[in-house]
Amino acid sequence: MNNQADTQWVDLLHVAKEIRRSVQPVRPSAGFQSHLRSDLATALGAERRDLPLEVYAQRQVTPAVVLAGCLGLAAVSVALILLRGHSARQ
Amino acid sequence: MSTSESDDILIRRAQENPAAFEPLYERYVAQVYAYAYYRVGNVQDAEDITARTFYQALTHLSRYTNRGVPFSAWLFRIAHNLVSNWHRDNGRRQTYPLDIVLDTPDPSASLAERAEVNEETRRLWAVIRTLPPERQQLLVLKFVDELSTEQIAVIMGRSEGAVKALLHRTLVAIRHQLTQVAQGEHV
Repeated sequence: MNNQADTQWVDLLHVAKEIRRSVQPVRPSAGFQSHLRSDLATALGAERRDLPLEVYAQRQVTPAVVLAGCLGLAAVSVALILLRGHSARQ
Repeated sequence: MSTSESDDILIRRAQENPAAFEPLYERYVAQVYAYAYYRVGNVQDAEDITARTFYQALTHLSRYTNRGVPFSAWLFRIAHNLVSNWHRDNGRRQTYPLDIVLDTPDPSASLAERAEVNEETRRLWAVIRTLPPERQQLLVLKFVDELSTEQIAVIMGRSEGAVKALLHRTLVAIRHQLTQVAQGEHV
């Protein structure tokens, strides 16, 4: 019985060895790899052009941005007026 | 591989900046291609499946998290689904060439020896092609991509014990069919 089991294991190992021996290393061609790399880069570029709308919304001029701009301008104007008044007194 | 950066680091980098996907592509393109080639048997479809695998990986990378499924297993699962679709679409076409496999690597062998090796290889792969898809998948992952039982188990969504049992049954089936083929030839 043991001999039969051993024989079966030897047979199976032989099959496994045959499969391993029959396998030849295959590699994608350099041309294919280069094209795929380039296509993936193109896909990335396309994805960036197709940014979600909310990203564009974040980039748009909002009322808060306008208000901040106006406040900034007002601050600069006041600073300039004060500076002129100060130099006139001198 | 041990000195290079881990997949997790490369994935995090690629998730922050998709342009950093290239090292992952370089690391796995040959393995995915070999898997696809041995599952479909021709260069053109193997290239197509490889390209689709990486497009899908790139597209869904932001959603990938390593919850017990390493990146390599995730990639092979994508490739496996594409191969399954290919077999579904080409269901009627059961015979396909495997040209590279039939090209013996030993140039010192005589023509007769080469012919004999080619014939044995052809017979072996003809038998493998008749096996159910999951058994073919297992053989390719084991003998072509040389993955560990643990890795194969994750890819196939089975336990390691189940993978070992399936491999045993598969080898028994191949041996049985090869014996039948040999007996048929001697009749």
